[in-house]
Amino acid sequence: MKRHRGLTLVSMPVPLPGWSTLWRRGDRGLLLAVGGLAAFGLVMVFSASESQGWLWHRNAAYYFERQLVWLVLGAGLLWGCAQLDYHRLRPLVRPLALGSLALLLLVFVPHLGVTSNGARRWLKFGPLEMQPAELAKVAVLLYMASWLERRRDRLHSVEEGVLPFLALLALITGLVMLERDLGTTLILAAIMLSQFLVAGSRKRHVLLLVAIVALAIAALIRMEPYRFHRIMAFLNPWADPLNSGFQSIQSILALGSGGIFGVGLGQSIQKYQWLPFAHTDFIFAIVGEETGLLGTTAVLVLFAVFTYRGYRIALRAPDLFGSLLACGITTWITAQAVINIAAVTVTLPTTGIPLPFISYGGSSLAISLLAVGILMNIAVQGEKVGWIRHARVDLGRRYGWAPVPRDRDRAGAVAEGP
Amino acid sequence: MRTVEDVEPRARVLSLLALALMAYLVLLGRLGYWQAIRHRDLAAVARAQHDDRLILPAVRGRLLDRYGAPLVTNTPVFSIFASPDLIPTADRAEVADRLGGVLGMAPADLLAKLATTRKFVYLKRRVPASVAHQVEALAQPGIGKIAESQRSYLEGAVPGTSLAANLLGFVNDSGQGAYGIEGYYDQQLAGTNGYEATFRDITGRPIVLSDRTRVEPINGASLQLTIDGAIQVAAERALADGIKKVEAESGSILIMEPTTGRIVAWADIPTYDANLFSAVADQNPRLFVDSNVSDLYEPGSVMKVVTLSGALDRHAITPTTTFNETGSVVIGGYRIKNWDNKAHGVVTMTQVLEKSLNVGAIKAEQLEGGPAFFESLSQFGVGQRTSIDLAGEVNATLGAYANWRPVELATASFGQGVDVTPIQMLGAINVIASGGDLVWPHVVDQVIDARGVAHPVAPRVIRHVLAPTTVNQMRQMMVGVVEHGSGYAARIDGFRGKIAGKTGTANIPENGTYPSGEVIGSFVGFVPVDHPQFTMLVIVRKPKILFEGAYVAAPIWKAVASALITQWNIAPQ
Repeated sequence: MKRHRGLTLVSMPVPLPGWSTLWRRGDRGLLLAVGGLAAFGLVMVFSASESQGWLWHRNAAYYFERQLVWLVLGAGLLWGCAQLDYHRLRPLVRPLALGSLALLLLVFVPHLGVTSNGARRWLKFGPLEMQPAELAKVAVLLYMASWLERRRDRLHSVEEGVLPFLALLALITGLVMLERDLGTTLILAAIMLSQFLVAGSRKRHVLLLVAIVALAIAALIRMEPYRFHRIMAFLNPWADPLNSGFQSIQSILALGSGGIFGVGLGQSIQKYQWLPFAHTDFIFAIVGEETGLLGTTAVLVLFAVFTYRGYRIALRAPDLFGSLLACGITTWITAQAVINIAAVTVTLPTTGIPLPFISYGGSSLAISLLAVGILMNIAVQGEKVGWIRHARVDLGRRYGWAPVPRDRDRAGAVAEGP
Repeated sequence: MRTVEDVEPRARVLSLLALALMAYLVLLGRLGYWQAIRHRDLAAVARAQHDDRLILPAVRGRLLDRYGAPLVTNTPVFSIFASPDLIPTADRAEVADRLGGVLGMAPADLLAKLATTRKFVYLKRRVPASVAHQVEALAQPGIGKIAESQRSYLEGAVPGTSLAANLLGFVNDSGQGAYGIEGYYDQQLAGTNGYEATFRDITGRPIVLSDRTRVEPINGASLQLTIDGAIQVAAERALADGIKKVEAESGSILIMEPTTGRIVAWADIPTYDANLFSAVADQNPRLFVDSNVSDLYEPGSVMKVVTLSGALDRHAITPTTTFNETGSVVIGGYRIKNWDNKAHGVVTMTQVLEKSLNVGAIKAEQLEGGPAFFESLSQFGVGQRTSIDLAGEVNATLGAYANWRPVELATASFGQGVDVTPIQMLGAINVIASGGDLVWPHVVDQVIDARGVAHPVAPRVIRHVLAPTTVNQMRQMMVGVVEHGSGYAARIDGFRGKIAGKTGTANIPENGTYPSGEVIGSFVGFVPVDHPQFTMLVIVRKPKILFEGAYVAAPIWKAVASALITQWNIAPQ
């Protein structure tokens, strides 16, 4: 029973070679999906931002160049995190969570916090600007994975499991809500709830929490006039086509113009200042205009591949911590893509979050790729039959979900590797 | 052994996956809706918002007389427009104020025009370049000018009118030809506008990187008319003078070349100034109507030429056929009398024509027989559209022979109870002048396309109507009309015995009866009789001082014919 803790694996000298091994040992489908999205995103950022770049910076490739730098940086982070045994992240969990909390609070410090488009969500250190919410997603999913793993035997208890979880949920989402960032709040709630679900809580508790979150959102929308207007504009954008409905209308005009085959790469007209945020939050509309239904479907399929491979990694993770991490990362990217595309297709109201891997925005891209790196490391350590399947044999135990990794087999498997 | 915990962790992850895939499917459905189902209309809306299309106007074709002298010129003008969406509501009152002064319009009217959701509205059409420059100097965003061209028509012979206004028609504010030649040939004259298409961004800046599509305009074709400008002036002047003299309400002159059907002159009084068409449209749009093709009238005795020609051609009569003329005849219970209420005793058919005896015309009709007479009316084009190349031609068909009562056939023989247009009547009489053919009357001699290539319009014979002997007999009988009968006022020195003509004095029907007093006097004739150079019909409606065609129309005919003889160097032979 001494070996039951997954940590024993960590100390084992697992050979962690370069890309080629990542390719062989890691999750190829995931890597292909992310690579495809990021490469396509880079092309689209160039196309969608050339007008903006020229108008504001006299350089059509202004945004492209920056995105390229961030993409290279992100690829490095992905590689690095894939090398780093994810169990080693455990000591980082608490400082990262506290640091992230501090950054979120710093946004409210005058001169440091920057308000943009009615939302106070940026931090400015000299020339550097960042959105603490991006980092917060990683911090939260790491912290929650660790927290839930520690409490996995008490999660059924209301006092020791559900209420503390609710408190954490309220604290984190409340802070982000103060920055008027409904999109990120939703994503954080989705991450935490999905982890809470997979960690083994009672289903009725999860459903209750989902209901609480939904009610809270409804209340928030009703309270804030600008959010209420967004909802109204969403319900009927043509009622006020020049103001509140403008973005929605321009977005569907872009999609509609594309038709099935698109007007051709670089041929978008809507990107010429017609569609606000064409290279960031609404880049998917330009994808639709230039590459048509074929292009948008391809992007959706790549995201679906990511989601599938991500949850598959969660299933095959060697322990609960890895499972929760994989689950959180997958839920994050999936929820963010869904919410973004839903806004672009006027399926849900606009919340102002970027499309993962595709939208312009360096810190967001880099941190997403970092998360993919963590996912890759979990995949490398994963097995055909992960801890979840092994849970069967442990059913009679007190801690029904204790992971029972087959250390020797795994080690052997790795040793027999390249 | 299966417990809840056994399958749950896996099922929970899979349920998350299922939830995500469902969300993707919903989004795919939304994308299909916008991109496939709504593609057409959304693309149209998008195009409407960013297509920037600069119209390159085609130059409207010219109208020339038969010698190539221009009858109309194009003058550059400007139309002032506004893009109300670019003028903030708060600024509109001030904009209207400033513009009102320049354009000479009430600021309130301008403000009303600006209060629209449309992206384009004309503020004032066709202002001169000087006004357009003043507007430009205001440098008001959202206000612009469009270069257009406006037709300038020549001054007519009658003060306050333009030359051949009813024949030419005009071009309205939307650039469309209306009435006459401008109406009939609008498509050829207008040409096809070109355009330069580009895209614009939200602030209206053209998108520099985008392709520009430039389609050059195809200028309109010019039309060389069959009209003789000098004769047109002479005809208008003579008609105006003649009408004034007898205080008539209106009148027409139609002249055509006998064998080709080319219209030489075409006057219709009262007329209007085509340069001021919009004022005319407000005050008396009836002036736009060209009586020569658009109004029906009962021709009266001029029709006897048709009646007797038909009877001659069928050998029902000869010019010397005699009969005892008793001054009246009873048909179907109606007593029909001569115009002078007199009996003329034994007369020849030549005399019937010379003295214009109604009873004699009925005699010829009866000798020929109803069906044959009815047939010859049709042969001469009565009740048939001439298909002249002018807008607005009307026609009253004769209908079926079975519907004609004997008394109606009888009155038709001297031109009452049968409706024709002036151009139809001219064409019918021209059968004699042309040597027996009904020809197609037309006003355009050649179409000169934008590249300068001339496409001549070929004259057409509609049908052969009369045998040469009939033609010769009738020509001599018509000479008799001028030499010995009612047409004496048309005699021209040096052309004695060379002018063939016929007078007509028709009662004007009103609600089925003929209220006495109001008549239409007309004279039709051609010259010289053996090789006619022109056929001319003069119509004077509702004269107040004299009545008979011999008095009211023949002098006008003589004046214009004299001018033609001089102008065209016509020899009597």
